[in-house]
Amino acid sequence: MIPTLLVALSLAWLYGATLQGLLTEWVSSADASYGIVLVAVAFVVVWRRRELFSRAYDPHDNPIPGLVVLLAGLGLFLIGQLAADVFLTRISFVVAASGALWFLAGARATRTVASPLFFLLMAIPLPALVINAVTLPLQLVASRIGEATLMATGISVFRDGNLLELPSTTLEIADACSGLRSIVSLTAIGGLLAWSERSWPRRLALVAAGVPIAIVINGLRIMVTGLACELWSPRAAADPWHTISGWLTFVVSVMLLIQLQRALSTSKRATWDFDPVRA
Amino acid sequence: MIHRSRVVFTVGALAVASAAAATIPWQTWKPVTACLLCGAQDSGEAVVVTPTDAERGIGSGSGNSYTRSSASTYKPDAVSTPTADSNGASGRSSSSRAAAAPRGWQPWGSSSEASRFASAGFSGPSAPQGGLWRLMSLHPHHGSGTAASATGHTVVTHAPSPAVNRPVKNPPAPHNSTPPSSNSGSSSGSPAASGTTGTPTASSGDSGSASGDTGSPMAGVPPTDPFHEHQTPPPDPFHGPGFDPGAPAGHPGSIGGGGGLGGGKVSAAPEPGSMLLLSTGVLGIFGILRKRRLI
Repeated sequence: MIPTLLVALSLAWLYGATLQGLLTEWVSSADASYGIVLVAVAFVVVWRRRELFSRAYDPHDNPIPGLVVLLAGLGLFLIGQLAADVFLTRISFVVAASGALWFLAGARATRTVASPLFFLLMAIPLPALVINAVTLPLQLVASRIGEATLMATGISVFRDGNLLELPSTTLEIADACSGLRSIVSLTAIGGLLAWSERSWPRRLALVAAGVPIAIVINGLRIMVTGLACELWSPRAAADPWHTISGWLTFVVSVMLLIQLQRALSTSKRATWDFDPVRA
Repeated sequence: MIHRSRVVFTVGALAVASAAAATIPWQTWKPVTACLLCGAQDSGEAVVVTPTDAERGIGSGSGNSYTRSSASTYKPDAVSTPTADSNGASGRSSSSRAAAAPRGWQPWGSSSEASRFASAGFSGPSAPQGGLWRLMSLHPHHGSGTAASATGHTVVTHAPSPAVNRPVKNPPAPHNSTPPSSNSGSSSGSPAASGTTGTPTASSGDSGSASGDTGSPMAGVPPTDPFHEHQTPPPDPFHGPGFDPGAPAGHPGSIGGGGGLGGGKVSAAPEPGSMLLLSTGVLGIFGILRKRRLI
C-alpha cells in the first residue's frame, strides 16, 4: 500500500500543475467539459475491475516494456515543458501512468485497466491547433448540409458562407455550431461502445463512425432549427429551444451509433463482459 | 508483493523528471505590461518627463512637458468601442472629445462582434493580437528626443513651435491613454494636462476649438492609419461593410434589416455543451447495459 501511495504522490507532484490546468479547462470550457464525464466513467470502470486487476497482478513480469513506456512518458513531459506545449504535457501523464503501472504490476494487470486509461486519453482536450484548423471547414460543411436540406423541404434559403438567410431570419453557423462538440462527444461514446467489441476493425469502425454521423446530424440540426424558425418563430433559434433541439439530435446520433454497433456485431449478443485478461 | 526496487526506480525517475522540469526556465510573456520599445515592465505609475530645451530641439515653448501614464496598460476587456457620442463630437473641442472618447479602436468591430468571439470561447484579443494591437497604437518616435528618457520607458516628443504655423504632428499615444486626473497636477502648462494624449495645447494655440482645426491632433490623419489613435473606428477588416451581426433589425448594417433577404436579425445556433452531450450518451449506454443485465 505504501509503495503504491509513494508512486501516486510522486506522479501527483510531477503533474500537479498540469492536472490543475486540465481541471480548470474541463470546468470552464464547454468544448472540453466532456472530459469530466470520461474521467468519471474511467473511475467507475477501474472500480468495477479492481478484482480483475488483483487477479492479473504479476510483479515478476518482464519490466523492460513498462520501463520503456514510463521513460517515454517522462521524456514526453520534458519535451512538452521545453516546448511549452500543454497538450504534450497532458498526454505524457497518461503515458507515464500507464508505464508505471506496467512496470510495477505487469502487462496483464495493465490490460485490465487499459480502457480507463484510454478514456483518460480521450478526456484530454484537443489542442487549439487542431480545433482552429477544423472548425471553419466544419462550419461550412454544416452550412451546406443545412442549406441543402432546407431547400429540400421547400424553404427558400440563401447561403453566404456560414450564414443561412431565411425569409424570416438569418442563421449564423458560428464556431460553437460547427459540430465539433458533437464529434468529440460521439467519438468518445464510440470509444465506450468499442470496448465491448472483440475485433479491432469493429472497434475502429465504431470510433470512426462518430465523425460522419455527428457532421450529418449537426447539419440536420441546423435544418430543424431553420425549419422551426420558418414554421413557428425565429425564437426557435434562441434558448431554450436550440439547446433542446441540439440535445435531441445528439440522442438520435447516439441511437444511430448503437444501431451501427448492432449491425456490425456478428453475434446477437454484444460482448459487454469482455475480459481483456482472457482475450 | 510489489517489487521494492521497481518502486524505488519509479519514484527516482519521477523525481529526476521533476528536477529537470524545475530547471527549465519558464518565462511568462506579458505583452500587455511590457513596453514593446524598450522591454521594460510597466510599473503602474504615471511617469512625467520634462525635457530640457536642448532635448526639445525645436521651439522654446513654455516648458512643455509630456506625460505618459504607464498605468494605462492595455486591458483587452477594458477596451471599449467608440460610441456614437464620441464619433459625433465634431463641435466639441479636441481635448474634451479626447477625454470623452475611449482610447484606441477595437479591431474587432462593434461590441456585438466581440461577443461573438466571446461566445466561441474568446474573452478578448489573444496575447499575440494584443501585442499587435499595442504596436498599432504606438506612435513613431521622433529622432533623438526619444532617447532623453532616463527611465528608458517614457516617450518624449518635441513640441511644435507655436511661432511656426505648421501642421502639428500627431501627439504621442504610446500606451493609449493619459488619465486627466493623473496629469492635472503634474505640471502647469503641460499640454497633457488638457486631457489629450500629449497634445501641446498650451503652445499650439487654440487647438481645442473644433475639429478640422490644423491644431487638432486628428487633423490630416487618414482614418486607416494604424499608427495614430482613432476617434472613429476604421472599417472592420474581418467583415464586410454591410454586415453587423449584432445590429438590430432594420439597421443598415444588418443583413436582415437592410437590403438583405432575411428581414430579421442574425441568430446563432450553438450546440449544447459537450458535457451534456456526453452525459446523455453515457447514461443511454448504461441504461442499455442495465436493461440487458450486463452491469
